[in-house]
Amino acid sequence: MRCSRFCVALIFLLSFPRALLADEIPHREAKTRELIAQLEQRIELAETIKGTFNQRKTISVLPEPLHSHGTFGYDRRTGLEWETLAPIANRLVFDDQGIRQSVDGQAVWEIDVSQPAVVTVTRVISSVLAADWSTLQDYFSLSGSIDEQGWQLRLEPDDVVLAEIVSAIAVSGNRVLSRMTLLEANGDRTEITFSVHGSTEQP
Amino acid sequence: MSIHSLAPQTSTRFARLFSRPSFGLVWLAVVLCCALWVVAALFRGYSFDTRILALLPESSQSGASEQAMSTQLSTRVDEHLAELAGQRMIFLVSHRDRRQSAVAAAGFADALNESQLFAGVQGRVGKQQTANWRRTFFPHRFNLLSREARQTLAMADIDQQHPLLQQALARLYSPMASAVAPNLLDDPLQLFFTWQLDAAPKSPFSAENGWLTREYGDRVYRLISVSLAGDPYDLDYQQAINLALDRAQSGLPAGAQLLSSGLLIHAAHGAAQARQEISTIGLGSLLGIGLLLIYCFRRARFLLLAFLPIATGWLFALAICISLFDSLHLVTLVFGASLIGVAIDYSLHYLCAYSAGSAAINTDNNRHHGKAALIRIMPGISLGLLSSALAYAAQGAAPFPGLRQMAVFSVCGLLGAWLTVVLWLPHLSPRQPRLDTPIHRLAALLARLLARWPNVASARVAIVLATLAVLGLYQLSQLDFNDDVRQLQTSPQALLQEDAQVQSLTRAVDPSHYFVVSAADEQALLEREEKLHGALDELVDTDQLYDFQAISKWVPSFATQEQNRALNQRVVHTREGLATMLTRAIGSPNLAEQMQARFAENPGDKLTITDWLASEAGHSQRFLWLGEFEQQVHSLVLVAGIGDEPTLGQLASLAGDDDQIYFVDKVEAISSLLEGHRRQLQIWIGMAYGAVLALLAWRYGRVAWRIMAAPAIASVLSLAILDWGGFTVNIFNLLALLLVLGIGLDAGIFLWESRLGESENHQGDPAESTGGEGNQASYTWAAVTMAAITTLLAFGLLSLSATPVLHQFGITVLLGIVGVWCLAPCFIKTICEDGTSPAKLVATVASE
Repeated sequence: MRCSRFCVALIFLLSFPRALLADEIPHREAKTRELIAQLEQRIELAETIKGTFNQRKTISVLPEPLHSHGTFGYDRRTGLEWETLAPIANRLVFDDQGIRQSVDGQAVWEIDVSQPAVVTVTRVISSVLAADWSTLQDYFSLSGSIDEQGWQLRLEPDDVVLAEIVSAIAVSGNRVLSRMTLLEANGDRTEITFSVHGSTEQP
Repeated sequence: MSIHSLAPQTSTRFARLFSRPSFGLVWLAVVLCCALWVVAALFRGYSFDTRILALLPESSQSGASEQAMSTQLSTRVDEHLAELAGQRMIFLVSHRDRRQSAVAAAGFADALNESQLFAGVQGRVGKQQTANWRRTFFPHRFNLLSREARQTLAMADIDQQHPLLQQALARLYSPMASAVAPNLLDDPLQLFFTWQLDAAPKSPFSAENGWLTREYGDRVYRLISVSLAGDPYDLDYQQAINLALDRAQSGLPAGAQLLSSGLLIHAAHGAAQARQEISTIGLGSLLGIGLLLIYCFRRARFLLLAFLPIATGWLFALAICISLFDSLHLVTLVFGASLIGVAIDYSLHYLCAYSAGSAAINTDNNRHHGKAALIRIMPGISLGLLSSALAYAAQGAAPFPGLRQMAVFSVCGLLGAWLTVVLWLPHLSPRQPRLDTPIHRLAALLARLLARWPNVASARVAIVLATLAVLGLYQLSQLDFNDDVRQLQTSPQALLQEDAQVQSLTRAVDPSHYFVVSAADEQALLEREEKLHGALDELVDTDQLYDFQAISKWVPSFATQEQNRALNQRVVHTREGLATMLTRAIGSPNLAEQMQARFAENPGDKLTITDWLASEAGHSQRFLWLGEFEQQVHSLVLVAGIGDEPTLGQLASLAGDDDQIYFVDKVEAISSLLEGHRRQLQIWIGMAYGAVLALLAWRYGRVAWRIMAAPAIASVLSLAILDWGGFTVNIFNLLALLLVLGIGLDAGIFLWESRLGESENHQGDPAESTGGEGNQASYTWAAVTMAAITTLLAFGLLSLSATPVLHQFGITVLLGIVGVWCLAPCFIKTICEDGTSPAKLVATVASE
C-alpha cells in the first residue's frame, strides 16, 4: 500500500511544472526528461508520415525468419495504415475503434479495442512512428542515448498486460525513425526498418 | 338497514344507540387489538413490497411477447436481473491527461477498497485474467470455431487461395504476428485466436496502463466496477456507500471527473427525496391543517378529534390488510392512506355541526351538544361512507393486485374512521361548545357567500356550466393518455443523463431488452440459442446491433462442437490440409507433421456449460445462466446497442419463430401493462359513478344528479385542463379522481342533507331553526370548505413533489377539489339571498 501511494504521489508530482519541483524529481526520471527534451529537439511530433518498411519476423519454431515489405501511412487523426505488398497482399488499419484487416481490398476481419494484446502493440508502433514520446512514457520506461549520428532508445514495459507480450522495444533513428526491434516475451522478435518518404509536422 | 329508514327519527335512534359508552369501549378494544396485531406482524418481519412489478397482474407480466412466459419463470428472470442490476455499480474516472486519469482511478479505487463496503472492486487489469481464460478453453480449441470460420471451412475449396489461409498468412507477415505467432503449432490457422475475439463481449474499453481505458473526446476514461456487499435498498447501506463515494470523489485530483451509474444511486436518491419531501411537504401540510383547525375552533383538543378518526381508520385498515395479504405494497400504503383522507370530512362535519349547535341553542345547558351534533350528521356521514366505500370497492373488482389492495385498505380505513366518529367523538368532546370561535364568523361569511353563489336554477349559470362540461368532454375525447413507464422515473434528469452517458461510453448490455431461452436440457438449450445466435450475428454485421452475449458464444452445442472438430480434421489437419499449405508458404514444411500430431494428441473433450460455469473465465458472464427451473433449463441472451425501433421489431420477431424463445421489452411491457390498467380503471371509475348514482337515486330520487354533478364536472375539467396545459395524463391522475369523487360526494350529500334537515327543522322543531347566520347549511358548507382546504394541504401539496407519481396525483387532486368546492353549491341551493333556507325550492325539487 505504501509503495503504491508512493508511486501515486510520484506521478502526481511529475505533472507539476518542472521548475517548481526540480529538486524532487528522481534521477532516472530526470534523465528520461532530458532525453525526451533532446529527442524533441531532434525530431518533431509528426502529424502525418508516409513511407515504406521492411519487416523481418523471427519465430522460435521456424528455422528461417519471415520477410515482408510494404508501405505505411500514419495520420494522427485517423490512425495507422499498414499495407503489406509481398509476399502476401494485406492491409491493416489501426485506429481508435480497433483493427480492420482487408485482403485484396475486401474487409475480412476486424477486432475491437477491447483485445489488449493485439491493440497495444499496434498503438506502440503508431506512437513510435509519430514520435509521441509522452504516450510511450505511459506504457514504458525509456532509456537511451543521443549523439551526432542519431539516437537509440530502449523501451521496457511498465504495463502488466503489455509485458506479457513484449519484453522490450529498441528504436533508433536520426531526423526520423529508421529502425525498430520488438523483443517478444516468448523469445520471438520483430525487426522493422523504415524509410520515410514524406511527413508533415504538427502545427 | 334500509337507506329509506334513515329518516330523522331513525337516525336519532341509531345515533343514541351508538353513543352508548359500551359500544365505544368495544371499538377501543378492537383498535387496541389492531395496534397489537400490527406491531406483532412487524416484529415477525412482515415485509412491505417496493417492487413496482408486484402491483401488476401476474398473467400479463411478459407483456409484448406473443407467447407469455410462465409466471414463475418471468418472476425469476425479473429477480435475477434486478439482483444483477442491483449488485453492481460502474464508475468512469476521467481526465484530460492520460497519466492523471490513471492516478485518479487508482486513488478512487483505493478509497473504495479502504471503505470495506464492497464485495469487490474491479479496476486494475492483471495477467491472471488472460491466463485463466486460456486454461479453460485451450484444451477444447479444435471444437471451437467462429461462425465465419465455420462457414468458410465448410464452403471454400481447399487450396492455396483459401481465404482463411490467406488471412492467417497475412497476419503472420504483419505487425500482428506477435499476437498469433506464439501459437503457431497449436493453432496454425489462428482459428482459436479468431474464435476468442468473436466470443468475447465487445467493449470500447481496452486494457491500458493497467486499467480498462477508453479515450473519447479529449478525455481518457478509466473504468472501475464494484460489486456491492449489501442490499442496495437498505437505507443504512446506501448512506454508508454515499459517504464512501463522497470521500473517494473528494480525493480526486483537480480536473478529474467522475461518472457513476448504478441502481443504488437511484434508490438512494429516491429515498433521500422521499425523506426530504415527507419532512417538507408532509410537515408543511400537517402544520397547515393544525393551524387551520386551531384557528377555527380555538381548541387543541379539536385537533386531536379531527385526526383521531384518520389514525384509527389507518390502523384498522393496516391490520386487516396485513391479515389478508401476504405482502403489502408500499404504494398501497401511500395511496390507500390518501384515500382515507376523505375521512377527515367525517370529523370536520362532526366538529362543525357541534359548533353549529352552540349558535343554534346556547341556553339549554343540559343538552349534550356532541350527541346532538352526531344525530344531525348521522345520515350524511353514513351515506358518505356508503357511497365512498362503494366507489373505492369498485376498484377492488379490477383484476390487478395493487388496486385490490388499495380498495380493501381504503374501504376498511373509511369504516374505521366512521366508527371512531360515531362511537368516540361525542364522548370525547366537551358538553358545551364555545361561542366565540372564528368558526362562527367563517360560517357567517360562507353563508353570505353562498347566498350569492351562482346556481343552475339561473339559465345563464346553467349555460356556462353546460358549455364548460361540453368543452371539457371535447378535450377529453382528444386526450392522449401517456402510459410510458419512463414518465414515472423518479430520478432527476441529471442522474439519468449521467446513467445514459455511462451506458453510451461503455456500450454495456441493455437491461430492459433481452431474450429468455428455455429447453428440456442443456444441449437442447444450446442448440436453440445457436439458432438465435445466427440471426443476431447478422444484425451485428449490419450494425443494427452493437453486440450480444449468450452462453452459446462460449459453449457451442455438442453437435456444433463435433462439426467443428470434423471440419478441423477434414480441412485443416489432413496431410494436404490448410495447415500443411501454411507451413509450405512460410518455408517450413517440416512443421506440418508436428501440427498434425498436436491435433491428434488432443482428446477433443466436449466443453460443457458446467465447465464454463466452473471456470474463472465464465465468471464475468455467469448471469447468462438461469439454471434449472420447472423441469427445464433456461438462459438469458442479452443485447447491447440496439440501433433503432425497427431493430426492436426484428428482435421481437426472432422470438416469434420459436415458442421457447421469449423476447422481453421491459419498457414496452410495463408501459402496455400500465395502459391496460389505466383502461380498466377508466371503466371502473365509470362503474363507480354508476353505482353511487344508483345508491343516491334510491335515497334521493331524481335529484341524485345534483350531488353527482359537481365531482363529475370537476373531474372532467381537471383532466381537460391538465391535458390542455400540456401535462401528461396517466393512471395516477385517474386514481386521484377517485379521491375527488369521494370528497365531492361528501360535499354534495352533506349540503343536501343539511338543507333537508333545515326544511324539516322549519316544519318540525322550530326551536332548532334560527335561520340567518346560525343556519345549519352554512356550518355544513364551512365543514366542506375546511375539508377541501385540509385535502388540498394534505394531497394538493403533493403537486410540489419531484416524484412524478405523487406530482401527478397531487395536481389532479388540487384541480379536482377546487372544482368540487366551486361547483357543489351551484347544484344545491342551500341559502337564499334573504338568508333563509330555500324551502320553496326544496318543495319543488322534492316533487321532481
